[in-house]
Amino acid sequence: MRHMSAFSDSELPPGTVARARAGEPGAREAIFRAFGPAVRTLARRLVPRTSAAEDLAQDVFVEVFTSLAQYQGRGSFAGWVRSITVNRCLMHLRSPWWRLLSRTKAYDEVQDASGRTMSDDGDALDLERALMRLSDRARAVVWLHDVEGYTHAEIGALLGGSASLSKSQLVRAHARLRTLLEPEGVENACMPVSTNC
Amino acid sequence: MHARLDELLSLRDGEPVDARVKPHLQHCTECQDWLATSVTLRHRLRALPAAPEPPPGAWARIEQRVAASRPCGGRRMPLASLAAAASMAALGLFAVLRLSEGPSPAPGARTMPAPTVTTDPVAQLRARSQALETVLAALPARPAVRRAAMSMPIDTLEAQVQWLDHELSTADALAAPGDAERLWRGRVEVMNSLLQLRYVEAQRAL
Repeated sequence: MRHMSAFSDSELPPGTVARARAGEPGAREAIFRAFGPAVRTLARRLVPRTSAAEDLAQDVFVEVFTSLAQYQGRGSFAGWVRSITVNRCLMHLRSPWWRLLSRTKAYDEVQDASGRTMSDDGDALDLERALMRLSDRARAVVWLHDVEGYTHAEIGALLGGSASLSKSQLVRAHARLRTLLEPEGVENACMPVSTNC
Repeated sequence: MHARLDELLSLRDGEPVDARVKPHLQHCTECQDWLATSVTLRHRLRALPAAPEPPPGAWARIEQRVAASRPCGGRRMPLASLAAAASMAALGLFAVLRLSEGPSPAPGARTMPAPTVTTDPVAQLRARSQALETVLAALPARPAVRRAAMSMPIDTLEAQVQWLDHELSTADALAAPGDAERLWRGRVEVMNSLLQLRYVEAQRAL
């Protein structure tokens, strides 16, 4: 069964989507309140620069409200909002200006100023930091698969690759996370990542 | 022979694995440890905290943007917006033509005529820097409501330009041969980045 992370229609009173589609501002705000935390959390996990993730979360809701007519009711509304969030974030990570930003000195300053973690306890903080040290693509694969429950075929399609590419990214990301999370001085035992010893 | 990590992840996810994996796992503590770590890691990832409260005014800004993007029912685009859009399009075209630093154009290709021809690299860089200044000055004023993700790097790049200008204006800084070229080259690169970000910012504000 697919793990639905924080995205769930159960948070939304029945009829809210229809009322929002009819232009009722209160219904739109209810959608924002219901899905805001999930959208912002997902954006911040995929794009670990707080300011960029907050901008993207806003973009997601603008797209949700301006495209409500396109939501046909097939599949859950939560799933539809989530797919918009994932697409927006991946598009952002692929954008030329993000790549440009990553190459400039400004990137480091953005990171210092806004790459804050969301945890304050030791273990979770360590995990967040390890996650941030993965490449954008590896982090996306880990989060989409292990937390959001996307299949490798779905992730492969989103990243413009194959299911096996997604799987090999996940394997490498897990190996890297394990190394990053090991206490200093502890050597990882030999474990073949994708080939036999 | 140990199980591979991809096999252990498949096992964790309930996917089919090679027949030898499960029997191997029963007596290999190392593979058991890896599998347990992968399960724990997934559990820990799912248990990470959610994002804190949205920044103040987040909903108001979304409402504002949704209202702004609503169809105008046949209403005409305001003249100022139309002019800004046209100006942006022209500038975009100009930037693409002018700023791409590709190889020399193919023989016979039509290019914008260069006003002067010089072989002095510093003079060339200075001219490019001036051209970038001209395009930058022609961009619409920065939006009153700025996006932090865009605004911070722009501010940083502007500060870098100021610092380079200061260096270029200091005679001592240009004492060593090649200093002027290095500084002007740096200025052109920073101006290029700045222009691209300002261009994206201006496009988004339309």
